[in-house]
Amino acid sequence: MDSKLNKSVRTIEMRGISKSFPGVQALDRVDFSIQSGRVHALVGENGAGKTTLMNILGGVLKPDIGVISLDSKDIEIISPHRAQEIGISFIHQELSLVPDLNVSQNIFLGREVSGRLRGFLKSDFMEKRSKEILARLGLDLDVRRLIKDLNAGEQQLVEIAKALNSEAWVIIMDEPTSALTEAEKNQLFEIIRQLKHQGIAVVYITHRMPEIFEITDEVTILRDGKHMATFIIENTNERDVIKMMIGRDVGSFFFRGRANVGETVLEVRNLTRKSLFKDVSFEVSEGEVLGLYGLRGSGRTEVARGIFGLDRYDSGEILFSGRELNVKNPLEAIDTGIGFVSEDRHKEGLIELMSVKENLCQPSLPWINRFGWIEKKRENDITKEYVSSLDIKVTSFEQVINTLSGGNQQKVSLGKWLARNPKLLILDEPTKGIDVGAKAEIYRIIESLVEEKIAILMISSELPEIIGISDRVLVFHKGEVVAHYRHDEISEEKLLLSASGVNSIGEKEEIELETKG
Amino acid sequence: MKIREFFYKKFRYVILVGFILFIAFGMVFINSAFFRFSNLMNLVQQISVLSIVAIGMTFVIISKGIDLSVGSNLAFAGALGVYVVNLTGNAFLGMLVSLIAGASIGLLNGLMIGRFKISPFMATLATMVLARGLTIWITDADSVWVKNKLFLWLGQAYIGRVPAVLFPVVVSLYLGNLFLKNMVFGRNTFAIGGNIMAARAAGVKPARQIVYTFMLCGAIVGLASVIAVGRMSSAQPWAGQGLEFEVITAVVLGGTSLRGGEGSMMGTLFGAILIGVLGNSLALLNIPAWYLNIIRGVVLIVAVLLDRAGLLTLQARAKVR
Repeated sequence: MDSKLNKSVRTIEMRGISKSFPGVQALDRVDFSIQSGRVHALVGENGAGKTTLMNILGGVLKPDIGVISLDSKDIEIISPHRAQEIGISFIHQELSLVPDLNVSQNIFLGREVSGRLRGFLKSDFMEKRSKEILARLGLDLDVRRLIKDLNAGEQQLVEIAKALNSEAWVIIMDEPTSALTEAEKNQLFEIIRQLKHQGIAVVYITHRMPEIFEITDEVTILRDGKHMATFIIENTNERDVIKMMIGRDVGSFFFRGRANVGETVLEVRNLTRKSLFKDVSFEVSEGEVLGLYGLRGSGRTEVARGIFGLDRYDSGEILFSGRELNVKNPLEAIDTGIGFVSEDRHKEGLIELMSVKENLCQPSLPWINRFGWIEKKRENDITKEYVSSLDIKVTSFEQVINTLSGGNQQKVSLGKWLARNPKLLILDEPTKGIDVGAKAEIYRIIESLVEEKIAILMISSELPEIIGISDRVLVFHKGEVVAHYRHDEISEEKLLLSASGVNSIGEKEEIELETKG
Repeated sequence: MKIREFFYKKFRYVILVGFILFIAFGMVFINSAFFRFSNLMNLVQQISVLSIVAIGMTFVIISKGIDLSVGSNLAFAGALGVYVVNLTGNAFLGMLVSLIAGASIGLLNGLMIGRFKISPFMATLATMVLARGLTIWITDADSVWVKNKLFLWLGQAYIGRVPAVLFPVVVSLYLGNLFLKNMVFGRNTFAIGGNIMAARAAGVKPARQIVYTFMLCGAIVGLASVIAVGRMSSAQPWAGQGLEFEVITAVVLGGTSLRGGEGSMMGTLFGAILIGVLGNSLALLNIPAWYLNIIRGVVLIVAVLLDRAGLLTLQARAKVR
């Protein structure tokens, strides 16, 4: 790695990159450029196409159209291996270190150096090299310590050292600060400055505005797979970037004002789970939508999972229709009248080899059988009812679920809960990965559920969605509720700022006002 | 689209029936004994234990498990039943004991896998040896002859020219099919095999479902053990050796995916017939035993490759889509 000596500027240019997945145009003619010695921020909401773009750069995905050039020569990045040869290294949000190996072994993972006898490793040499690389980053870390004994920040730094050891000159960091403390973050930034100085190009993916202005040189904003703008950082400000990120037409299907909120359905008091969320309290009433907003890992999903019995919690109280609720598993939650549309329908929502009918009826099975025999007629009735009321496009009830489009799949994962007539419905990212048309339909369904007096707890990372639909919004930051807004007080900027932990003191005053009033 | 889907769904049956017919008609030219009624009934007897155990294995594999203990469990359940029959002279009590003994090994498997999260492979590898040890202990490592005619009836009797065992085979396949398709139990088996996390979120209790699935498999093995004893007129310490191998081959050939969440009794039936026809033909050709094992090994490899390639199942195709 001699970029210190190699003063010539290297560039990678991505032009007109498009990529579509079934039902979604993930990227639509996006331009993006990387220059050695510069930090380029890539921002956008979830689903804006950041990860897809970077996966194309990393050789994981192939673009449908578009050109990538390296120092003005067109190239094709056909595999992750090729990307590595070019010098591109991708540090994912979930780190790829092996917990039971030590720092040096991880830095040399996959490129171990052996001695004269093949297969016998030159550990001394590798440890010495590792020390050198870490020193270059200004780090003094014992290279023999096991990864599992390091904190999140140190692990992140080892990951960077590993990238440097692979001779990378482009390092992509995906939300690198999401698991870091303030001090660790500052250390990371210090190192990013070092890298810049040494001629490394950094692509910095994030949601957090202040970080962009602290560390990056330019910023590219994606929205719905489209390239909105690229700014030199000095020529822009937080407000403009946020506007570019979210300023889409919110559409007419949002919030029409709901006057009649009924009785309290769910009341959560001081719910706590060690290191995930702390002292979370809120309530939701019939015919009300409570939005939970926050960055990934801020605790919002974990709280919802605790309520539904999917995960445990350590302390706190949950009241459901005034009675104490302590579900040990989802079945009990379902029995009480709670439904849970999970964030990832492929992982926890749908059983992909099963039919539309089987998926729609799965949660209802304990109630539609006679001595263990499934009542075929009721099964068909349920399917018929929800296929028609939710307008799910199927060729037959027996159609295997993974042959449906994303939007129709999502309707099935919603419909299977509606079939239980729930009093409370938890929606975790209800429109993730579906196209705009299907989104509008899901919003209409939510609106009709509200009219039927169902209480809704909605987790969403999409600002227009959470603002458009919620009656009230709670903002999570690092496991705590840091802000609470009524519908008329919500703005996109307020939410973004509280979620990234900025102005949290100011917001806390508002909470107190809230609870008093 | 519909025709394609239909073809996909039935494709595995087409392959299997094609294979069966291919071997059967090939046999006609080589040895005309194959299509004799008596040989066909012989075939039924030969695959009776295999096909009944395969019913249980189908459930297990659909749930994304595997049960290596079925062979030893067969010997164990049979031996315990025989012990009780010889002690009490009550055939029905003996059968009940066999059933319970089989289910107990299944329960042990299920608890290890469902509650203690041991991999099905390791858990049933352990009970495979354990059950064999128990069997040798019970039988004193020797054949234990059965005097009770009623206990042997299932495995030996003929009704006219048809072996009595045909009826339990047909009935249990039919019931197995109903169980799998029409009962909450079967549906939940598919659910945990297809996506255990989604199943849990939809209210299935995965640990419990796994325990019951393995118990069902064990109980079915217990039933089959009575037939196996009947065919030998005795409890054999080494009964059922290699049975797990044939059963797994039959089930996988039948299009039940080793990746879980997919499978059918119909396929398992065809798989068992194919294994039976193959074994019967090779026996008629007087092929030495070591060839048999080589062929068995090759057939399992082919079956697993077909499963991987998705030729027998919907899964891989769906992924590729």
